[in-house]
Amino acid sequence: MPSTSDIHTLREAGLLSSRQMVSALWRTRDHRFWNLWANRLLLAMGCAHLLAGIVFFFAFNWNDIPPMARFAILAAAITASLTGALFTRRHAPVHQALLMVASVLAGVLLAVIGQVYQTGADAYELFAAWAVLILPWTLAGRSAALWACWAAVAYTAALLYSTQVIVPLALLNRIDAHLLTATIPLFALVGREIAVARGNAWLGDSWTRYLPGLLALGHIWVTATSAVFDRSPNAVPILVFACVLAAGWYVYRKRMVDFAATAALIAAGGLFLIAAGWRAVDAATDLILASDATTSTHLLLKFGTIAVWSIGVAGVLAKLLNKIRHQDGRKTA
Amino acid sequence: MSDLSSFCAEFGLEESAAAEALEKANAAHAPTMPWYVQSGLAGMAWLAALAIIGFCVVLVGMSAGSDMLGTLGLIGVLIFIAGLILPHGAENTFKAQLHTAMGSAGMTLAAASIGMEADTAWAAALTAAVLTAIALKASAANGFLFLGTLLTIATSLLAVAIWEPAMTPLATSLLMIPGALLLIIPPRRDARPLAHALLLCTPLALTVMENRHLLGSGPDMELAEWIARGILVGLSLWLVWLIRQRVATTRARNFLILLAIAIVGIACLLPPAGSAAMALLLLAFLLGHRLLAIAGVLLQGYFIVRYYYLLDTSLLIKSLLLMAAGAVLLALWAALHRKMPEGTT
Repeated sequence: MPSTSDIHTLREAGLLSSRQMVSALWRTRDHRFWNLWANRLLLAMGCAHLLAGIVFFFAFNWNDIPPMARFAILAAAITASLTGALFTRRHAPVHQALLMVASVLAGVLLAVIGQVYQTGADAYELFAAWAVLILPWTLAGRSAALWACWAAVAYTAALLYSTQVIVPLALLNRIDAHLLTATIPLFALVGREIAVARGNAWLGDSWTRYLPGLLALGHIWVTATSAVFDRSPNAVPILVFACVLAAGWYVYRKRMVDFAATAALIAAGGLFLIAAGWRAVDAATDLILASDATTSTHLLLKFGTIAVWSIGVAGVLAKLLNKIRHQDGRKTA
Repeated sequence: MSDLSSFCAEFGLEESAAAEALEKANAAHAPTMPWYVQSGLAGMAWLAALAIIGFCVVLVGMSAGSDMLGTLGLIGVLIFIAGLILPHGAENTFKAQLHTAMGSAGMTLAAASIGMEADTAWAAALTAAVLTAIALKASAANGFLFLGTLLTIATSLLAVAIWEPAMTPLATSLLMIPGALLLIIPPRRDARPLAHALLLCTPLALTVMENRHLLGSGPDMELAEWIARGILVGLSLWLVWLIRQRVATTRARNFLILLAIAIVGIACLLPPAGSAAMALLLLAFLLGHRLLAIAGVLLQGYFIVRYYYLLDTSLLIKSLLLMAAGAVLLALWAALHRKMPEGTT
C-alpha cells in the first residue's frame, strides 16, 4: 500500500488530481491506528475528568475532614492499591499501574502528615522518607516506570539535600555539590546497563538508557560550563566531564553501538566547546583591547568571533556525525 | 494484484507512470539524520545566526548614525539572501539548518526594521510576504517556508489588530480555511509548510487574543468572537461530513451525527481557540496526520483545563461538573468501544 508521502509524490508528479487526494489519503491511512487513537483519546479525557473531579471534591471538603480521617483516606487508598497489586498478574500493566498509584499516594500521605504536624523540617527529609517508603514495592515490582519514579524521588531528595544542607554548611562549594548530585543519574545509568547485560529484559526499553543518561550528561555539562565561567577556576568538573565523555564514547561506540547516545555525547562536547570558546573570547578581548576601547568595539569583536567559532564547531560536529552514521550504515549493510 | 496495482486501478492511474514517479522520488531522497540530531544542529544554527545578527547590529550602531533602521533592514535582506544561497540538501545537515536559521532570522530582522522605519505593521507584513514569496520560489526547506509563512501571518494579524481590533478574531479564524483546503485539495507543489503554518497559527493567535488587555473587550469583540466560533464550527462540521461520507457502517455515521452536535456544544462552552483545536483534531483524523493530532490534543487539553479554571463557580460545583463530564465521556467510550471495535471505517 502506498504511504502518505507516496500519495504526495504522486500528486506532485501530477498523476493524482487534487480532488482525489482526500480519498487517496483516507484509503492509505492506518484505520486501526486512528480508531484506537480516537478510542483512547475519549478514554483518557473521561478518566482525566473523573479523577480531576474526585481530587477537586476532596480539595473542597479538605478543611472539614479531621487530620486522622485524612491520613486514613490516603492510607486506605495505598492499602487498596497494594492489595489490588497483590491479586493481579505480576508485570501486567494493571499491576504496575496500581504500584505506581501506591508510590505517588505515599508521597501525598507524607506531605499531608507534614502539613498537619508542622515540624519545620527541610523538604529533603520528605523526599528521602518517600524514597525509603516506596523502595520495597519498587524492588518487588520489576518495572522500569516504577524505578524511574523512585529515581526521580531519590534525585530530588539529593538535589534538595545539596542545596539545603551541603552548600549552606559549606561542606562543599556549589559546583562540587552539583557534581555530586549528578552522580545519582549516572549510577542509575550504570546500574541499568549492568542489569540489562545480566538479562533483565524488563529494563531493556531504550528510554531507560536515555532518561538517566541525558539527565546525568546535562547535569555534568551545566556544572562543567559553570566552572568555565566561574571567577575562581575549578578544573575538577571539567575533568569529570571529559572522563564521562570518554567513558561514554568507549561504551556506546566500541562496546554497544548506539548512534543516539553517541550523538548526545558529541552534542554535549560541542556545546561545551562553544561555551568555552565564548569564555576565551571574552577574556582575550579584555586582554587585547586597550581599556579605553569602546563597548561597541568589544561587542563587535565578541559577536564576530563567537559567530565564526559556533559555525565552525557545529560544522565539524555535523561532519563527524555524518561520518559515524555512514560508518554504522556500512556496518549494518 | 499488488497494493500499488489495486491503488492505481481504483484511482484510474497508469501503474507504470506511478511506479516510475515513486522510484524517482526514492532515488532523489538522500538519507537524513534523525530528528534529535537535526534539532541539536538547528539550535546551534540559530545561535550562529543570532550571533551574526548581533555582530551586524553592533556594526550598524557604530557606523550608520541616524538611519540605523533602514541599514538594519538592508542587512536583514542581505542575511536572508546569504541564507538562501547556502546549499540545503539532506546530505549537508548543518548547512541545511543554517539555511533555515539565517533565512528566517534575516527575514525577521528585515520585516521588523522596515516596519519600524515606516511606522506601520503593514510594511512589516508586506516585507515578510515578499521575502516568503521569494523563499517559496528559491528554497525547498520546509522549516524555512513554515517560519516565513508564520512571520507573514503574525505581522499581518498585528497590522489588523492595530487597524481594527475587533476584526482580528475574524481574520484569524478565516486563516484556517485555506490551511485545511491546502491539505484536502492540495496544489501540485508541496504546500504542506504553508498549510501547517496557517492551521497552527489560528489556535495559537486566538489563545493570545484571549488576553483582554491586548485587544480590549466590548460588544464588538464578543460579536467577532461568536462569528469566529461560527466559522470554525462550520469548518469542523464540513470535516465531519467528509469523514461521514467515508465511514462504512450506519453506527459510525450515527456516532458522527452525535459528534457534530457535541462540536456545536463545545464551541459554545470553550473559547474560539477550542473550536480551532477541534477542527485540527478532525482534520488529523480525516487525513491520518499525526503531527496535527499531537498539536490538536495538546491545544484542546489546554483549553479544557482553562475552561474549568476560569469557570466562575465553587470548587464543589466544578468537581461535580468534572465528574459528570467524565462519566458521560466514559459512557461514550464504552459504547463506542463495544460497537466499533475495529475496521469499521
